Amino acid sequence: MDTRLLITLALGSAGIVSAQRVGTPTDDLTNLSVDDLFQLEVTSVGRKAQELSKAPAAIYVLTAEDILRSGATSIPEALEGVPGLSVERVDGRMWSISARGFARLFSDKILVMIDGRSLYTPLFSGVLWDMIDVPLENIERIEIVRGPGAVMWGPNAVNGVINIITKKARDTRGTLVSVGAGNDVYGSVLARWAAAPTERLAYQVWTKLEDENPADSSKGSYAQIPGVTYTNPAPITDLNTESARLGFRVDDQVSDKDTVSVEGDVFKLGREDALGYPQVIRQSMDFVTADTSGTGGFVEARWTHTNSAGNESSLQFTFDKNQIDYPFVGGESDNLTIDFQKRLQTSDRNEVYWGFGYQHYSDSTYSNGVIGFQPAAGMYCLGDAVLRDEFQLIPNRLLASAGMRVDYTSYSRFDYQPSIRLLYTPSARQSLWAAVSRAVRVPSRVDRDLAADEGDLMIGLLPIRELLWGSDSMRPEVENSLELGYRFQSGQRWSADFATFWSYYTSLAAVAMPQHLQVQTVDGMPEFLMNLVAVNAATARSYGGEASATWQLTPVWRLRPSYSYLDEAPRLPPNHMWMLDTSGYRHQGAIRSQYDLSRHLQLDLTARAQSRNTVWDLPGAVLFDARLGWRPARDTEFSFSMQDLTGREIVETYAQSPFVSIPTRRTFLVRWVQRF
Amino acid sequence: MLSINSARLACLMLVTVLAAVSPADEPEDELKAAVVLSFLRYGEWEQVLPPNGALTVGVLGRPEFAQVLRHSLEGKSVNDHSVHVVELKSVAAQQVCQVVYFASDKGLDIKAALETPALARVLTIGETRDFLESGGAVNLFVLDGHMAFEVSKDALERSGINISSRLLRFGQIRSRKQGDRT
Repeated sequence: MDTRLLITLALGSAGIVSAQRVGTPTDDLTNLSVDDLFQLEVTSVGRKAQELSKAPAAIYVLTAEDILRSGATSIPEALEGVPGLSVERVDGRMWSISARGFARLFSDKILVMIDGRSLYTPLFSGVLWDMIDVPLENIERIEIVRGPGAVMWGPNAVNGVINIITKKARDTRGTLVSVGAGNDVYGSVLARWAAAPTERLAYQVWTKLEDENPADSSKGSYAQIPGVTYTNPAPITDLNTESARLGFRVDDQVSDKDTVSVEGDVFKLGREDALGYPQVIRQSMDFVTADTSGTGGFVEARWTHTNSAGNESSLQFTFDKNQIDYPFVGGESDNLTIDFQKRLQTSDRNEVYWGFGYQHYSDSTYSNGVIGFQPAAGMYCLGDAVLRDEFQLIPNRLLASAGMRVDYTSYSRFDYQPSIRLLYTPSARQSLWAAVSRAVRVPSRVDRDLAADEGDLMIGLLPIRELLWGSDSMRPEVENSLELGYRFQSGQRWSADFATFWSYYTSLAAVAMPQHLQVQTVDGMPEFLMNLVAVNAATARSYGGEASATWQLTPVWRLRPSYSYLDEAPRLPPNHMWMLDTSGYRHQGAIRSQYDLSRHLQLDLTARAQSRNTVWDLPGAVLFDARLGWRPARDTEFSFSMQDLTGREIVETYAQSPFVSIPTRRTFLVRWVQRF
Repeated sequence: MLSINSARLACLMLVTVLAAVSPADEPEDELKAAVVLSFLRYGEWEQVLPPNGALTVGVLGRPEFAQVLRHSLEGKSVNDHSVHVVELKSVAAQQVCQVVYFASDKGLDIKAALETPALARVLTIGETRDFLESGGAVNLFVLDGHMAFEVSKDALERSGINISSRLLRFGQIRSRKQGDRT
């Protein structure tokens, strides 16, 4: 292990330390313009926690400062260490991300949104993390909500919501150029320009080019089922990914009461993949390299009308179009959504929220026979209505919130998702909340139309070809959940947040094993087929809790420790198996340290720990990250960040698909950010 | 399992940060001081100030905030009026302040203080959650890592103080229902 660098950092920082403050390099804050004043990041965190105390849900917020100081190069890396969230690396480009369990490459019980636009695709009920990139410099904050959030946030928010909020065009005025290079991200360039010609109008354009390769003679491995892993015979050296993106945003306050925002981007991505196709399970696998490509874009328009402080309406339209071609499956998709929401304060003690939305999704896919969809083209519509009421049972002390979302979908007809929440705030420093919710994950194309060839399974000396099929009879998966949370804030120095939950799932998707094998002849030879068909047969119980704190030890030093516990007990009836296995780490912990050595120098350290992964039999590990930031002038910043300082090579999860898993490795990135 | 190297690294991290602990000012208070100055710059008082007379900010509550405010604002001037900061023990006797800042303090009865006639023509700024509901005009808080404020339109109108829209556009304007209980 290379501890010399750390020793150098430690000695260096100890030598530099003096009574200096956190903050910006500006000598006198009173000289700032009001524009700049309200853009400054506030480093004292207690008050932010006080604002969060108004939410009767388990929420964790990553601020823009947290994200940039983590040294992350992508959104999944920024999410590592968030309490209650499983963020498991597959190959450094694809991730298994989920909240409170059910983590897998295609995690289907968490809703991810960017500026209110859902990234949850009806194709497989999940998020293609490898196709998403929002420049981290554009992110205002990321709110992570654990637990059911359908009434507040949208459909399919079963176990959580990741809500990414980008900066308004006005807040990014000027020109920014960010250039980074390292041994994982070979090169990354972001150029952003924004202007505000009037007090009401602001616009922004940006472009980002990136070339990365997370592999470096890495050991590649695959697992189709737990307990059976394969290792690529040659080290993985080329997982090269090149991407280009172009985006814009316009914010216009068209009148005193109306605001319109329009944003969008287009992207093109090409990459190399190392794949493993099982031929005879437990005996042989084909290892090949191939290309993946993606092109696409989105446009989003949002109109907000504010009659008064307690009477607000918003109408949002989004359309995204993608063409994504993996080596074994691909296709194009169109997704259109329209959403209207209204907030009305009917009295001093009561607020009503209501809204409705519509989604129209269509795709056309193709396959090489390993994984595909039958029919190849599909269409999906969803209509939803939501009503929620917040009533102050005791003004400023006890708040009750009750709501219901009703969805009507092409696949499952009517689904209802109610939630009741109570928030008790005996003082401004403490809050206690409780929630009872029912949430559903509606079936996706994978559940209904999947056609996958899993390869031959050897039973004795008899090879049996294993085929996996979706089913039109698939119904929604249902979760009933109880949550309890407590927050405490002590002045501006520290705050703590505790949440615990118990959830019971029914109608979970599984596959039924046939009672009889099917026999067909191929070139005159008999072939035995095992047809596994999707059914809503499984149940699960999970409970656990999360604790996190923010501790401003001194004005220049902030610690954010967190710990999560998860106990999952999935239950399969006899002769059934999971369509995809899920895994969550039972114990996870993290501590982030943000330290300002001087006005111009920052040292940030993170330690992340996770216990053994029992599903995939992967070892627990403690990983360390570090970042040193230097701001010689207000508009200039250099940083040097390292991930996995100790160089521990840990496989965090398996894709359970032809995609390779590679272990973590020590990576570094040098970045220069210049504002003009 | 934590390896020996990892443990050594953790010790180094701890030693590094422990060595660096040192007392210093609250950064949030400095930002609040800058916001207070902004309200002086963008505010218009009906009460006529003598030519070159001082603009005075009174502080109730946390003495350390009064220190930060004095450090940040003393010596500054707004439209040729110098800025002074005074610590107040109570608001009843105050005669000179254009702004009174309620620095949150456990022993402070904010609602009672805000009802004092001596504050009728004064811009009241606070930092507690119920400040507007107690009758205050401007409440400072931290939102998403940034300084933010909310303003009671009714309280401003009552005090006869006009704040420029160039500043107000950064804040949240509260109506009678949310801001006041008058």
